[in-house]
Amino acid sequence: MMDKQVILIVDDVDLNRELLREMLEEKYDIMEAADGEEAVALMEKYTEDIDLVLLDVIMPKMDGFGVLQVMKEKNWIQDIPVIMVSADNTSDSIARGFDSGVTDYVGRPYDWKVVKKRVENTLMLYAKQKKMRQMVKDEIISRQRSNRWMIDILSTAIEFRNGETGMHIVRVRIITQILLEAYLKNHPEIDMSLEEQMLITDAAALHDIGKIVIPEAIINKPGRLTKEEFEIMKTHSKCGADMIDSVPKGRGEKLFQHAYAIARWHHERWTGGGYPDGLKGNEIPLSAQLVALADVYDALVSERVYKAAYSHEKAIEMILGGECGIFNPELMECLRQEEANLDENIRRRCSEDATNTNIISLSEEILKQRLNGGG
Amino acid sequence: MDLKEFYKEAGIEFETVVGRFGGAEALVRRFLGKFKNDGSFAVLEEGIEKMDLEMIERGSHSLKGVASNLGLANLQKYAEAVLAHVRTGGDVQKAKELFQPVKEEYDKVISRLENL
Repeated sequence: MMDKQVILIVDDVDLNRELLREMLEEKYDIMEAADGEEAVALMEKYTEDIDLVLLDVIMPKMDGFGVLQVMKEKNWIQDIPVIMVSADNTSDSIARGFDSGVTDYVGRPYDWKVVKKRVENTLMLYAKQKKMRQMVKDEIISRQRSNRWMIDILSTAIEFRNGETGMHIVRVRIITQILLEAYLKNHPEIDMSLEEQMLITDAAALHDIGKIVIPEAIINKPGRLTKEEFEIMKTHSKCGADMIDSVPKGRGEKLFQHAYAIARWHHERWTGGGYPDGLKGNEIPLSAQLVALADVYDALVSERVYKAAYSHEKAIEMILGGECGIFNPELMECLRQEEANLDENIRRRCSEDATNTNIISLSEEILKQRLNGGG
Repeated sequence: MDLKEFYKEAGIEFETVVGRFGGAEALVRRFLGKFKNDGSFAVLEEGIEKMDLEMIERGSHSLKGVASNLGLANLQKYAEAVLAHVRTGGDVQKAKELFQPVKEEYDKVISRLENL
């Protein structure tokens, strides 16, 4: 049994509201507001529930156009159709109404049949639109999930050879995400979309795929690597990047750019002493710097063939103390900001629920951006 | 007085009004019954007394709308005259003059409603 659709009637004259209610309450659930401010408050509270607004123009406190302005700013106008109720039939005000996002007009005196039909038609039109948007959103969510899953499975398979688990991939990704968010918070002038943030964290999972070309003997050697062995090991960054580059793709696909940068340069060092290209300072792309730091931290707190696991506190101490090399001081700052809750934070984000919520809210943002004509 | 006569006095054919209500005469009666509680006339009257052009505009606009919805054609016409005057930048003195027929018609309508 379908719930009734909800109509919000906005008019400062009681009698007018009652008339409309009388005409519509058999088929629909009715909400009322006596001025623009009340209307906005109701829409704020019941955004998802209101299916249509019948909006008067002349009202105290906030008039009809004021309400439309708010609806535009808060993006409600996309999902909630507005039928303007106007005694003002000048073509100017009608044009203004349409420019402000009004779907249709109903004039006074109210005619039972006209009002009902206009409402019915508008609702039908928007129902289709709503359905389509839901479908698109579901598609985006499904695609994001697939993407992430595929990347994770692939990376896990490769890391498996050297005794890493899937959790290492997930954790590096999460740590990268936490550091990235902290960095962006410190740099409000950088306007990075949620979508790109997600791309970076997804790409982070691929940082070591180059290891697939490294011989088993070297990858799993329990002791120290010889100089020659180490040189071979070092090739995994460039190899990984080359592999990523060899995949046919559209020019400039951001995921590939980030994956390439991360794979190739996650062993570069701030001071310039890293490999393969000896990049220095901010020559190293941010994404690679983040993953480098995340990788180091995760290596410290995990058990490895060549070492036991350190505690979270010890790992932070070592990194901040410079025992693991010199990093971008700004990233050190981020680490300091996040360190208190880092352990807890990582654990929480690892859970399936957290991942899902993140994907869903990201997909909503992407949809919103696209519909507003953004990239 | 029956509804047909009432509406004739009000300046409109009863059939026209009841048509807008989907033929439901009882509904027309019910809403006419609510008219005396509508505050639009009071706002207009107060605006005239206070010589407040904004109130006059708001009151006459609301009254025009309500009158139109209830089929009170004459009342609607007089209210409209006040509204048009104020909107074209007219002065309060003239607005007061234009208000007179509104008041007269309003009082008549109210008393007729009591006899319905």
